[in-house]
Amino acid sequence: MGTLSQFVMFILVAAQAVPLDTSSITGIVSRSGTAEPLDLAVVSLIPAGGAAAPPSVETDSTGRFSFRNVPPGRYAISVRREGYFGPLRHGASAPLVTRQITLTGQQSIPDLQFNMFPGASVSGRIFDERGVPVPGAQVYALRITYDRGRRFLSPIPRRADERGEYRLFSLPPGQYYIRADVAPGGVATGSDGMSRTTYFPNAADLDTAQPVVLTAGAERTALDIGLRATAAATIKGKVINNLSDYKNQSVGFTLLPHDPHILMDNSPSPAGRKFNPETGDFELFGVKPGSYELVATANTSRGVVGEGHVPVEVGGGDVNGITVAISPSVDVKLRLVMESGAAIDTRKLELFLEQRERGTLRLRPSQGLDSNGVVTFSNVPPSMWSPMILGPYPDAYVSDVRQRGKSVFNDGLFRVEGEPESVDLIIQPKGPAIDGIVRGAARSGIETARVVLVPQPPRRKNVLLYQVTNPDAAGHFRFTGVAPGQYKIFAWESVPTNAWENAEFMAPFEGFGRPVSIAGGDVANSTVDLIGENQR
Amino acid sequence: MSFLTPLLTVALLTSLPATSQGGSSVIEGVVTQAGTGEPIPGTRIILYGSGPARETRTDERGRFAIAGVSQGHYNVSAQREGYLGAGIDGKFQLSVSAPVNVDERQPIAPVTLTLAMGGVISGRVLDPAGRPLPNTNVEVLTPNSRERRTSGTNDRGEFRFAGLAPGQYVVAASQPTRPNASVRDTYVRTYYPGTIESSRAVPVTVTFGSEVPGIDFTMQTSIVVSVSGRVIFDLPDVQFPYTARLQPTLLLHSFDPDPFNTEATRNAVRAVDTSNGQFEIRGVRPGPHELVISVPGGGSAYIGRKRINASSQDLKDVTIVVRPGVDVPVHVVAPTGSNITAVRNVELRIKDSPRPIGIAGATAGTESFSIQHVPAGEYDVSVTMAPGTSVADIQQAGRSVLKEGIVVGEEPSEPLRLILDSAKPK
Repeated sequence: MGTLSQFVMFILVAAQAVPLDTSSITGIVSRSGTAEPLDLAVVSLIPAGGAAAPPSVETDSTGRFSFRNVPPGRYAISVRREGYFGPLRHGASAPLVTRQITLTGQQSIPDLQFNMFPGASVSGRIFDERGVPVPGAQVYALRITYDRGRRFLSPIPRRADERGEYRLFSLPPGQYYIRADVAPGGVATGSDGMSRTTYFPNAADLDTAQPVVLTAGAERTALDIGLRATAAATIKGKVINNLSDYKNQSVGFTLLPHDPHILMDNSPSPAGRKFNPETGDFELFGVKPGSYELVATANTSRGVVGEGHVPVEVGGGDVNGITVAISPSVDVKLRLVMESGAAIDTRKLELFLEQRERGTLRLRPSQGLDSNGVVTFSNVPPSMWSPMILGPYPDAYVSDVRQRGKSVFNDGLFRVEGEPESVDLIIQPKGPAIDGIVRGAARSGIETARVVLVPQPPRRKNVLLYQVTNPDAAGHFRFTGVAPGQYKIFAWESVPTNAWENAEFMAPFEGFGRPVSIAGGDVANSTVDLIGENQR
Repeated sequence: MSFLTPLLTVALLTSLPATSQGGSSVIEGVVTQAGTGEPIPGTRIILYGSGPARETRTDERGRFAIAGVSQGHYNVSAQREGYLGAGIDGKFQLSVSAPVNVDERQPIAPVTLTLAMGGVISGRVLDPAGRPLPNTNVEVLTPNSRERRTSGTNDRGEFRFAGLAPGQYVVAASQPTRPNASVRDTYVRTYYPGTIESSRAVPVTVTFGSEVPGIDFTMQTSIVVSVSGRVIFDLPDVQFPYTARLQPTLLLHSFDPDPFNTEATRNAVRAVDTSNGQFEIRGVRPGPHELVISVPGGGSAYIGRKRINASSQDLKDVTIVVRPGVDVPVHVVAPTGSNITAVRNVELRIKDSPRPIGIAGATAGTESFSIQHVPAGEYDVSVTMAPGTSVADIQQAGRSVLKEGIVVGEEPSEPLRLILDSAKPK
């Protein structure tokens, strides 16, 4: 009897335990420097492991927010505010600031402080070559980003007003190029054989353009651009599209610099174009001299159904008679081969394909893992692709990528060229680890440094072999699941994300890398010198 | 033109970077401002003719020249941001054009094109503390909504509308919907000079060439509430958890008599939890509304409706039941001389509403079709026709429903007879 009532008591206590155990959090969001409170900031409380719709609140006019009845656990608190950014780190400003917090129960966390940095603005006027303002001119702020080993300029667009005046605002602090073109619309741009793409202050190309460095809250005015008319060529040719249903497809054209080291302006090409879907004849106007890869992409509502590539050399004059054959997108089957009875739950793995060298597509499987460990990607256009794998297995690693029985592991890339492909991914359950320490100015905040494991040639292109981590407050770091081979370890105080995949970016840093050879033992040790913010 | 003397023409030919292609003739001209005769620099000039279109822009003296034009008939058009072409039927065009006949044996008379400088309205939107409000949507509207332009404020809260046709404009500002708004007092659509009642808006008058600066006003706040509840599917092929690729869309439709409120209907994106049908829409202003949910299924979409009246308190436990509804058959009656393909679509619209929501459409070109899955309720019938064609009458059970609309119940609906007008299209 006594036991039963105790049991009932226990249930009652257990049922009430959740509300009794909860905590409350309050905080304030303010502008860095001036401490001005920021209202209307969106504060989200994200439980560890993530949530589809985490509870979110807005700050009031005093910049304050609060969460009540929060169950114990680990959380990330993220704060976003229109026009404001996190601190400049690794060459970029995130649009949010986050902070980790662990609640053990019945706590009252007061006055969490979040500081945000205001965006910058640039303004000026666009003139044509005669000094006449260009109404409605197209203006872009371009900032350098790294993606798939390539340097891109990512555009933030704006139109000038009827007086030719422009203002770009809420720009995250960083380094920019400002680019201007004539107003879109009208006759195909460049059909007069001239290009008017001009970079601040008056440059026809990026080599002679002047970058603009914007600090938080900076307001740069009178950044006027005088458009230059420079000779440009027309590329004429034909798309050979053997796909069925081609009348319901739209064909897009992209000109990529042939040399992957050339900084690529990713803003929409101002070059005018003409395409006749009946005959496949195309014309691309306003192309500046250079070596290009012309990519023709056939799209339908289902996605990219085919792609063709052809190199094009543009010298002084027009280029005629270019033929681009569009090859169909195909199915690619990726087979996971687990070595030695690995205890890996394949349902927890996430697989995708990333397009390399000629494009920026990322494809998810159309069909998940079947009982043979095969995932299927449909509509994979012809290109170079790298398989990517994510999962909660820090010790596991990919030891080989095989296409038609042949290893392509040096580059980690496989080619798709109009034929269905089957690629094997060999997975090892437990690879060696590297323990290390970052040596250098023992300043606070070393946790925000980035330690990057970079494969040595000839494996530099294999993105499966790269690893990135942050050291702890004492400078310790650890890489796990390292495939045997030669590596260098770099530790940057600040580095743009993925810049380490770019050979040109890496060249001045090579001497700072600490070589490490992984043969297959359990743990290797390493010490790495920190590369400072302004070091080269 | 009198001031384009032969001497000037020569100067023009030698100084302008005339674009050349093909023939040997030159089309030249000037763009001037209506009324003042001042030249308009930076005007986009496009020459349309038999070959590919050609383009140039006027210089600082408003002049242009296009060389290398071969024999034929052309049209020269001029267009510039901030300027308007002559009105046709009281409606101003964005460009003006003139025909030019090129005969290589004869000189071509210079072309004069005239544009009128549109009006400008500029100002700032501020918060109640007097700070600029960036990224606020600003609209200028004429009372009949013939003219409607939208823009966003910049980081200094500034907006600018150029090239406006002369007239009176109501200026309205609204902040983007903020799904995380936790404060009940939030920004609501505000009209210049700072009121939430459109009847109290002070219109701004612009004339050709005039700039009305300083249209500064403060965003107003009002009580807003949350409307929450549950969607219940009483459907043969759809249930919660809802896993289909196409998401249900939930619209909140205000019965707001304000003719200037272009936001009376808004899409409550992802308001419905697809695992259990719970929904919550925040930031709803008190007043009568209709909740309309559209659920892909049954070959088209099922519709659920619920009328609500929001007070100044949060409205909870609202249930919207989605049933298959009934099909409303439509027969098109096409007398001789009318064209059945002129019917673009037929819609049923929720009654008593100044800005109704379409319930279903239909394809053109068939004599008989159905508007599927119509939930019980009262509707107005609306038909979209090809230009120049019209509907003579819409009848149900021998009665005209063009004005009164129809009532849809649980029972199968009597067919609608859509009688086309036999008048020939213009």
